[in-house]
Amino acid sequence: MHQKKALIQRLMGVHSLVGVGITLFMYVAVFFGIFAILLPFIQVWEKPSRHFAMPSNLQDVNYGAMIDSVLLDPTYPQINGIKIFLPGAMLDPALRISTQFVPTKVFNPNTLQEVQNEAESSQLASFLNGMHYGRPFKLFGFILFGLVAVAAMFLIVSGLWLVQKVHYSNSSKTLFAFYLKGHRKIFTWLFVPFIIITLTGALMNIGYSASSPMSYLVSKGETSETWKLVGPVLFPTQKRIQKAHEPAPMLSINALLSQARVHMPEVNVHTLTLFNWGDKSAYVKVEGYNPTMPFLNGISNLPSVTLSGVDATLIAQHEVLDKHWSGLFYDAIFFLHFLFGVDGLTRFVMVIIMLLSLVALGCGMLFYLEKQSKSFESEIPYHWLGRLSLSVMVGVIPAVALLFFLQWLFPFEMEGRFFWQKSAFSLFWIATLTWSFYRLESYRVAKEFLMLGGVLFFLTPLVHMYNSGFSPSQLWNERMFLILGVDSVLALLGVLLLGVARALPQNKEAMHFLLKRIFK
Amino acid sequence: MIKSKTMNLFKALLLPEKNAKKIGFFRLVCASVGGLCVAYLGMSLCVALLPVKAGEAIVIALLFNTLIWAVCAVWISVAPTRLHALLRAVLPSVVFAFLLSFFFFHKGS
Repeated sequence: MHQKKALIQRLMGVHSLVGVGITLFMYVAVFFGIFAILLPFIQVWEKPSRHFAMPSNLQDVNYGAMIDSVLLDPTYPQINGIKIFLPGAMLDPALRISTQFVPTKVFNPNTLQEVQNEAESSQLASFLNGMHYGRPFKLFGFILFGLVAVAAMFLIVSGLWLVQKVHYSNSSKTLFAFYLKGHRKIFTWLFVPFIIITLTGALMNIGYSASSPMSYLVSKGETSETWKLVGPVLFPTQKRIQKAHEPAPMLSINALLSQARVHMPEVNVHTLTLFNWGDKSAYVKVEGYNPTMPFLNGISNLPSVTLSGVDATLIAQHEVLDKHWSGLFYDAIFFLHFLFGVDGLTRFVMVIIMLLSLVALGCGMLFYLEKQSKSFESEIPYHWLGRLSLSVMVGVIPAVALLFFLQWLFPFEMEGRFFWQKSAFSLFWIATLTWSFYRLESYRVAKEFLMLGGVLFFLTPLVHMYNSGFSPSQLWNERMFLILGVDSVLALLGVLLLGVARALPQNKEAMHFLLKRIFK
Repeated sequence: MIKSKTMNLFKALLLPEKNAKKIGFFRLVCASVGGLCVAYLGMSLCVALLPVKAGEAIVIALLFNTLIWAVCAVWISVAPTRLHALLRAVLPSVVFAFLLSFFFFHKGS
């Protein structure tokens, strides 16, 4: 009996110790992860060059007119494969042509004209995605966030063990009992997607970089490069056909695409790769995503056909289930993390799950802080960890709102545009830390942060409309629903934050009263 | 003299801490470093022993390595005494390392 009690106490001790240590990092990863889930939408919204409708019928677009204009240019490097991303790939309405050593060319498939790609000057979505896994801090960030993912799995395991061992009473007498209840209830429901996501996150951040000793051991000292072992299994190389140096007329891209659809009717084609184009030996690899087999394709496994460019004869075909079983397993595990090719509804469900996880993380931290506050001396007005958490967890909202607000406020021709944008973001986020230490009442600080975030998020669509020159009715009439959607979500978010800021009580007692009323 | 000092250390490590809720540095190091060793060596051994090519299984082993690390770390950190925590970290590592070295130097396929 005494042993069991000691075990539970140790579990609690280690769970709270590790939890307090990594919650803030975990919160940052999940918070920016939500924007990473919405990356395709933000990517289109942030760029003036993408302000046009998705072609209503993708099969009728004259792809040849756009692609030939690039291929006919004798200075365009054609030695390596030329990749063409069709409109609709990652919800981008543009057609993109890229190859090594030259900047990507972007076309509007409605007018067939080339548009000016923003490239470096517009990186909002990719920056938000990078914040999700520590990219701004390079190797240090990767390792840190990888270890945080491992620690998160530690917390899931010890937390589940605790839930199974301890009989928790669902009391609501104290505020911290409320927080504990929220933390426990949400995570006992959500641990399954959470564990898969942290597992794959840990693999990407630290798993690969720590893989060489294992490769060395299991290959009996042959190699320490994991890729040499894994590459032939996961990505068996397709034999490259040598160039014949005999010019030949090519079939049109549209004809090749419709031929590819005959071979794989259920696949949504998103990428073409052209090899030896204009030569007798020309061939094209057509890749896509098969939505009838979710979880089995989309990440490392792309169903494809390879066709001859001269007469569209089938050279090779790769179906979803042709992949090696370890590749299928890999895709199945990564599918929930990457969400490639999934529809808006699935993304929306994932956003809800992650928002709930944020609440649960916040509850865990608040539970710890409330418990600590009982043992406070009266002359110390606050706990440093509480103020740091306030700044990281709530202060990040106005900081990100500022990032969005500046996206359309700065002119796109501005020198070092993105540098100023992300610097303003970082400075503002640090400033929230100063502010949360300066004010004595933490509830008031939270109210102010939410209010500011709400105002900035609400103003963002207005600035976007003014500076892009598209009014909501224009966006609707010209069928740019995605951009209109982002605008409306930002405005709604602004209103919501203002509402929450208004409703948030002024102090602890009022908070307890409010929670009791809502969850009774 | 040295012997009695080591004995004292063992005795100290065998006593459970007074406050079980306080997790000390010793347990944390055992859990994080020891957990990693157990998990990494264990997964390497799995890949080595599975009847498939190394390239087929290593990605999955690397994927689960982090989860097993976390599980081992929980298991080690809640050991009844600090000596148990140390043993839970060291014993499986040594066993796995021994088996692995046997595999590593084994001639033929």
